Amino acid sequence: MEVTPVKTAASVKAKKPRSLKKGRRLEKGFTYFLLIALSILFLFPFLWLIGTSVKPENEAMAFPPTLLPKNWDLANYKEVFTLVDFGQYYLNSVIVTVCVVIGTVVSSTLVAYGFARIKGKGRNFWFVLLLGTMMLPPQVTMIPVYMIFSKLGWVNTFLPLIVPSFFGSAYFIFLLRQFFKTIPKELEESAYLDGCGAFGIFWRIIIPLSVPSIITVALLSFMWTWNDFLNPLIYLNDDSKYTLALGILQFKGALLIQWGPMMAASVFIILPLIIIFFVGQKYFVQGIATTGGKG
Amino acid sequence: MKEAGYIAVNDFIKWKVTQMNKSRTLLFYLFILPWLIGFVVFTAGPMVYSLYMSFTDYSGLGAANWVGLENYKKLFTEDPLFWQSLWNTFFYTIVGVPLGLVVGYMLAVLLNTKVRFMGLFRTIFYLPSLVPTVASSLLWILIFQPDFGIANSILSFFHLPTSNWLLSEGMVKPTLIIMSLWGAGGGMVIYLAGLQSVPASLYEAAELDGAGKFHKFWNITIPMTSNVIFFNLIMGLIGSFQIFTQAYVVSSGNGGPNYKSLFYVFYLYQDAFKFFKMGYASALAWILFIIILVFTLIQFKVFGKKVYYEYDE
Amino acid sequence: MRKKKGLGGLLFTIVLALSLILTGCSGSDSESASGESGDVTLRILVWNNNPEGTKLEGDIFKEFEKENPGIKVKQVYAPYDKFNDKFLTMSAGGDQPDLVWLQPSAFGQFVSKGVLMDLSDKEIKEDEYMPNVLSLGQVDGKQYALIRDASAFMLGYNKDMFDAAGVEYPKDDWTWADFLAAAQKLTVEKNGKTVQFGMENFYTNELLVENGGGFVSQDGKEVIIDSPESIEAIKFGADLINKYHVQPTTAQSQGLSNMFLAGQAAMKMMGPWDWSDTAKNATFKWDVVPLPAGKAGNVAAASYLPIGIGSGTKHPEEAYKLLQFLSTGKGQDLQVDTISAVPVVKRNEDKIETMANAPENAKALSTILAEGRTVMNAPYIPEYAEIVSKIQPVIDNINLNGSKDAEKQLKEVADQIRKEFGLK
Repeated sequence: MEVTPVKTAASVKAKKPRSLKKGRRLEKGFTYFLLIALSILFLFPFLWLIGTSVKPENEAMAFPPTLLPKNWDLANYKEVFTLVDFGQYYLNSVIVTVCVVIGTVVSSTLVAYGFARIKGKGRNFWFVLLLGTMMLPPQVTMIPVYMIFSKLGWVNTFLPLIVPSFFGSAYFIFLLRQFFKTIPKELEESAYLDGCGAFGIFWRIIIPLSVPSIITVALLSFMWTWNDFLNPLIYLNDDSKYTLALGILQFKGALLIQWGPMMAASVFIILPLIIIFFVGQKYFVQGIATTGGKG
Repeated sequence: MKEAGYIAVNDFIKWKVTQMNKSRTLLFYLFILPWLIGFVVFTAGPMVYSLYMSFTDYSGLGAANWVGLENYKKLFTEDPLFWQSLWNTFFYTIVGVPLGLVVGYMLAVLLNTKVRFMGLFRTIFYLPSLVPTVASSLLWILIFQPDFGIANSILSFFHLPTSNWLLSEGMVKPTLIIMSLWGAGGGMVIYLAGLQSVPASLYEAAELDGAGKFHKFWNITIPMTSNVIFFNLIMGLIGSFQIFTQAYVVSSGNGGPNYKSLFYVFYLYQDAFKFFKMGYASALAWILFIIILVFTLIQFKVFGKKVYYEYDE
Repeated sequence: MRKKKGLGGLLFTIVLALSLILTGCSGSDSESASGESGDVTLRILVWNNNPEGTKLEGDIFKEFEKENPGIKVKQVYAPYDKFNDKFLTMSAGGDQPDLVWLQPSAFGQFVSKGVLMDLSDKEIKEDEYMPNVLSLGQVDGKQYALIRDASAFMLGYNKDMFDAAGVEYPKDDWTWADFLAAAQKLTVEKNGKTVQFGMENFYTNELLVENGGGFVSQDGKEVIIDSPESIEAIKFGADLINKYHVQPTTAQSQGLSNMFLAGQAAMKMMGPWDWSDTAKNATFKWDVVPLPAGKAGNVAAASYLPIGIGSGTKHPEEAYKLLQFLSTGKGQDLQVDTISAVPVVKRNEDKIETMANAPENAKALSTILAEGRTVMNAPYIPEYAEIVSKIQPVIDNINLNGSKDAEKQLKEVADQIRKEFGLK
C-alpha cells in the first residue's frame, strides 16, 4: 500500500477563514442559550421541591402556591429524622442498592455477551423469550413470585430484592447486547490468535471497550433500585428493614399528606443520586476508540 | 488427485465448522446460564401461573374456579372499558414513543457537545427523572391548574387559547405525554453512552473530506447510534404499553375525566387489586402480552435490518 | 491459561458477593413464635395517617403487652392506597397477618372469600357499644369484625368569616335551606373572580345519606342511585357548583387540598381526625356543627375502622384478646388521648369533648353517636367498590355540566348496573 501524505485535522483547521470562526462562536452561543433555557425548565420542579421542604405547614398549602417560602423553616428536615427511622432506611437502601448493582452488572454483562457475540443454536428463540419476559405486566405475576419467595422463607429479608439481580435483568441484557455488537470482529480475531478463549475475549476486549455502557447500566440500575418501593413494600414487614422509597410513603397518610416532611425526605433521597450521577457521567467520555487499523 | 484433495479438505472444513458450532452452542448456553436459571426459577413459573389464572375466576383470595374462555369473552364483548383503555394506551404509545425518541436523542446530542460545565448540565437534565412520582405529580397538577397554573398563565399572556389540561377529556392524554417528555432523562443517558461510543476518527475522516454538520450527523452519528436508537424504540414501546403510575396519581386514582386517562395497565391494576378480579386481570395481561409481542416482532422485521452492528452474527 | 485466570477471578467475585449478602441479610426471623420460649407474636396489618400515628398506636399495643405477658404485638405497615396489594400477596403467599385493619370497600370481598374469621360465636360485649356500631362489622348477620373507632363527618366553619358576613352561626338542627342561605352570603367575589367560597366540597356520599338516598340499598339488593331522594341530593350538589356558585368547580379547586385552612372557603366537611391539624394551623376561630338536614334529618354517613382476624391465624385466642382490648377494653380508654380516635363504647361517650384540640361544639358529635344518627351506607357486597367506580364518573359529569339531565343520566347508569350485577 502506498503511503500518501495525510492531511491532518490540524493542518486543515489552521486554514479556516474568519467568517467560519464567527459562525462557530454563534453556534456555541446558541448552544449555551439552549442549554441554559432548558436547564431552567428541568430545574424548576426540583427547586419547587426544595422550596416546599422549607416551608412551614400552612404555607405549603397556600393559594396561589408560591415557589419560594416567605418564612424559612428547617423544622421539616428535623421532623424527617424524628418521625421515622430515616437513618436506618438510608443504610438499608445502600445495602440493597449496592448489592443489586453488583449483581446486575456482573450477570447482565455475561449474559449479554452470549447473546451478542456467540452464535449458538436456539439463540434467537431465547432472545425473543428474554424480551417476552418484559411484556407481561408484573401486576399479575406479583402474587406467584411472592409465593415462591414465601416457600423459600425469604419473606421479610432483603433476599427477594437482591438475589434476582444476580440472574440478569432483561432490560440491561438487551441494552448491553446492543453495545457489545458494535465492537469490531477484527479485535476478537486477533485476540483469538493470541490464544484467548471466549471468556478471555469477554474479559480483555469487550469489557474494557464497553466502559460507558457498563457505567450506564450501573447508574440506571442504581437509580431504579434506590427509588423502587413496590418490592420493599411487598417483601419487608419490619420497619427496621424499610428502604427509603418505602419509608417516605408513610408521610402520605390515608386522609392527609404531610407535604413538608415528605419533600424534605425527598431531597435527602435524591441527593446521593445526583452526586453519583454527576460523578458517573464523566465516565461516559471514552477515549478515542482504537479500531485496530483500517487496512 | 487434486480434486480428491479438495474434497478431503472441504469435508475436513465442514467437520471443523460443525465442531466449532457445537462448542459455540455450548459456550452460548454457558454464558446465558445465569439468566436461564433465573428465568426457570423466578419467571417462567409465575408467567404460566398467571396464564392459568386467566382461565379462572380467581379473586386474589380463596379458591380459583375454572371458567374457560369466559374472561376473554367478557373482555371482548361486554367490557367497554377494555376498549377505552386499549385506545388510551395506543394513543399514548403511538404519539408518545416517537416523540420521546426524538426529544431524548436531541437532548443527548445537545449534551454531547464540548461545552464548559457539561457535567452540570447533564446532571440537571437528568434531575427530573429522579424526583419521586408523588412529588412531581402534585407539581404537574399545580402547573396545569386551569385557574392559576403557569401553563394557562403563559398562554393567556400571549393571547393564546387556554385549556383545562388534565381535566379536559380531549387534552388529558396530550398533557400526560408532555409530562413524560420532561422525564426523558432515562433514554437520554443511554443515547449519551451511544454517542460517546462513536469513534472520533470517523468524524475526523469525514471532515477531511469536507463533510458539513448535517452530513456528519445524518451519515455518521445516526447510523453509528442506531443500536441504541433501536433499543430505545423497542423498550419505549414495551414500556409505553404498560404505562400507568403517572396517570393514576394525577387523576386521583379514577382514570378520569370520563375514563380518558384510564390506561390499560391502570385498568388491569384496578381490576386486580381494587375489585378483586385477579383472574380477569390476568386475561387482560395476556392479551396485552400478545399485542406487545406482535408489535415488537413487527419492529424487528421492519427496522431490525437497518440497525448497524459491527458484529452482525 | 489466561482464560482460566480471568474466569477464576470472576467466579471468586461472585461467590464473595453472594456470601456477603447471605450473611449480612440473615435477619429473617421466623414469623411465628420466636426468641423467648412460649411467646406468641401477633402481627397486625395497619395503615396510618402519619408516622406519628404509627408510634402512638405502638404505645397502645405496649399497654396490651403489659396486661398480657407472653403476647407480643408487631405492627406491619402498608400505605392506605396500596393496602390491598400487601394484604393479597401476604394471604396468597400463606403469610397472612393475625389481625388486619379493614377498608369498608374491601370488607365484603374478604368475607365472601373466607379470609376473615367468623366472630359470631365469640364473647362479644354487646351492651358496651354505642348504638349501630356492632352492625358495622356484620355481614349477613354474622360478625366478622369489631369496630375500633366510629365517628362521622361534621361541618367545620370559619367563625371569623361568618362574623364578617353577618351570618348567624349554624345550629345543630339546621337544614339544607339554612345551609344554602348561609353559603350564598359567605361567597365573596372580587373582580369577577371568587376569592371566597361558601363551601369547600360537599361530599356526594353525605348528600345522599342526608336525603335518604344512596348508591345501593343497605341490604345490598337494590340499586337506589336513581331514587327520587338520590336524584334530588345529586342535583343539589351539582347546583351548589353550577347554579349557586357557592362551591368551586373541579377546575377551580384542583390541586388545592385545604381551601378552608388557606382561608378560601368558609365551610368544609370535617371529621375528628382533622381537629388537631386545624387547631394547629388555622389562623381564625372555628367550630363544628352537624351536617345540615335533608329529608332524612341531621344524619351523616358512618365513618369507622373495623378490625378483623385473619382466618389463617395460628393464634386465634390471643388474637381475639387483642381485638377485645382494642374494641371494648383498655384500648378504648387510651386511644382518645393518644391518637385522638373516637371511642365506640358508651362509657367513653363524654371523652369526645375532652379530646385534645376538640372544638367548642364537639359535644354535638357525641350526641350524634349516642343517638345512633349515623348511617352505614356502603353495604358489604363484594361488588360494591366496582359499582361505585362505575357510577362516580356519571356524578362527576353532572357536577361538571350541570344538573339538567341528571335524572336521565342516573337512571341510565342505574339500569346498567342492575343488568351487569343482577340487582333490582
